[in-house]
Amino acid sequence: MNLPNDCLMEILSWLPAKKTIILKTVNKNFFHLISNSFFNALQARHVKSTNAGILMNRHGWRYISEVLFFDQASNVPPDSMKILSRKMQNLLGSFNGLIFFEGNDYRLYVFNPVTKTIAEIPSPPNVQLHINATLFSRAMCVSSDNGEEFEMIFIARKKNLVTKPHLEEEEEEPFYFTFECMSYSSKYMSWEYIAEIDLGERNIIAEDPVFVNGYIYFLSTTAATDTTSVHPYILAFHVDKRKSEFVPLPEQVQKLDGDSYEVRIAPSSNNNTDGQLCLIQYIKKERVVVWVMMCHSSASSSSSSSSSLSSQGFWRKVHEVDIITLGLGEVDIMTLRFGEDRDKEIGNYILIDGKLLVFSVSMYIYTYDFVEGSLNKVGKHKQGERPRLNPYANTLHSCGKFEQQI
Amino acid sequence: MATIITKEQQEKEKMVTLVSSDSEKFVVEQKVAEKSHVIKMVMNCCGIESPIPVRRVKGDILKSILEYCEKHSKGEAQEVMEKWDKEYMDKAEKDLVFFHDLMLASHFLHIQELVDLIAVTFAGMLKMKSPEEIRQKFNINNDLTKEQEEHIMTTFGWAFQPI
Repeated sequence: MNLPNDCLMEILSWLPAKKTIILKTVNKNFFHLISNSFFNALQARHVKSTNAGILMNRHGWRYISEVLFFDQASNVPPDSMKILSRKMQNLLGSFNGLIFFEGNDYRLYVFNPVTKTIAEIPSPPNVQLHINATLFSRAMCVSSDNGEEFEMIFIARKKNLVTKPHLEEEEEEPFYFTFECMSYSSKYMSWEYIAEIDLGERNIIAEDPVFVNGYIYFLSTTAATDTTSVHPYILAFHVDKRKSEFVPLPEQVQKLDGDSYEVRIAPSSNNNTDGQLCLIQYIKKERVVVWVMMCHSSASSSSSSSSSLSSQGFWRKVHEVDIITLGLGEVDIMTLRFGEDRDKEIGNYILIDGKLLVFSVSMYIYTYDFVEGSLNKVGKHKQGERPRLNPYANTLHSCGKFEQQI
Repeated sequence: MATIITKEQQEKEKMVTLVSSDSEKFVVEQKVAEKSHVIKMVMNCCGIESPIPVRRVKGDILKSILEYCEKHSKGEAQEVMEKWDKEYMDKAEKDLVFFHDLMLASHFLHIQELVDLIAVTFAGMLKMKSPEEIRQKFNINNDLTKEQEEHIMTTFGWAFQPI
């Protein structure tokens, strides 16, 4: 092979971290190519093919997080997850090979489980990280990442509500909450306050917001029991314009009873710039449907007034699969009727790269590729009925200038 | 001479002639040739009236590359493109020498989308191969000493463990 080194680097950078470490032993040239920081940055940008596993955890610091891989080319050192779990109080997110979390010491950290390096992120101003994370949710997503420096958006429930004297009784009615949104730049190591976001009438699921094309998206709850007549929606917040819009779910989704389905959102590709928003609907005991939101930005610029977006032709159904194809078909009609198929329900699910459905059924993780139509059993986990699932990319992404080895 | 090219004019399919290293001529629409960052720069400064020599790229490779550029200048749906790309790569990767030249040429012509596509496919070929298999397939000489190799294997012991 007499490819010049820059071509060779392009090729190798599409391989996950474990494989590239093994390929260091090919020869001196491979070794030097793979050991350089430019290579690490290039690899971190190629998540499309390094997104090779799933990071799982459950709420509570007592549990050890796990990571499962889709093939043998990816892995992390065996003690990495233990190190992470020992330090972690609340997982914030997993992006391009980096894991963001709140530590037991109420500080923010970024960790790469492959290199076992960690760096502290200065605490966001005016956010009390020692308040119970399950009640006062905090979440983040990476809004840009060149493989070396990243920018992230951090969301926290508004702090001053905690001191409201009548909160105790009103804990059941979370509609008064707002989110405070701020961004952090790893390059300048500084925070910028962005805005307070109006959440609308329904409660918002703060966990795992999605950043696509300048917008940060949140999903509202869908349950019919919410004390509101407003249909479930997606809250779209344009970070630069500091403006929010409420996007209705597809009409076909709205027609269903809120308790008969679940929805999740995900980016259609892990490339922050040119992706679209996907809505993944799991209709219980029936099927999983994937919708794509069509050109949000153009629709919003033509209709300048916010919240006037119509669901008509706005969503496009791109994938659909019934639960029998997902391997949940052995249950006969009788047991379905009597609800004895508890073990045969999808516990939790996410969509990676717009086409790979990752879902848990009791203690197992499966993947279903919508394009290939292939179902795979990935492995077993110990995270309970509804593990939290995060895509994990196996990269050598640096944690920043002040990273430390642990 | 600075000719201002308006959008309508561009849409009227302005043609440009590209000449490969073995003097094969290709007449393509300007927007197709523009997919190459290098050719785009040449067209911007020298215009499209005279043929543009692509000296480092042979005719069969250039033909294949232009086929890709033409398909990708049409703005078709993503699923259609992905399917087409896959078939295009399936054909290309059969001949390793051709594939290798295609990588070099797209890199030289600076067509990043195509570089990425080839690199992903190439990486896919390497993914399930051991270092020894890679050395054999691509005729690579191992110039690491036994100690150096062992040092890597002990430092990153976990990566070399069978799962």
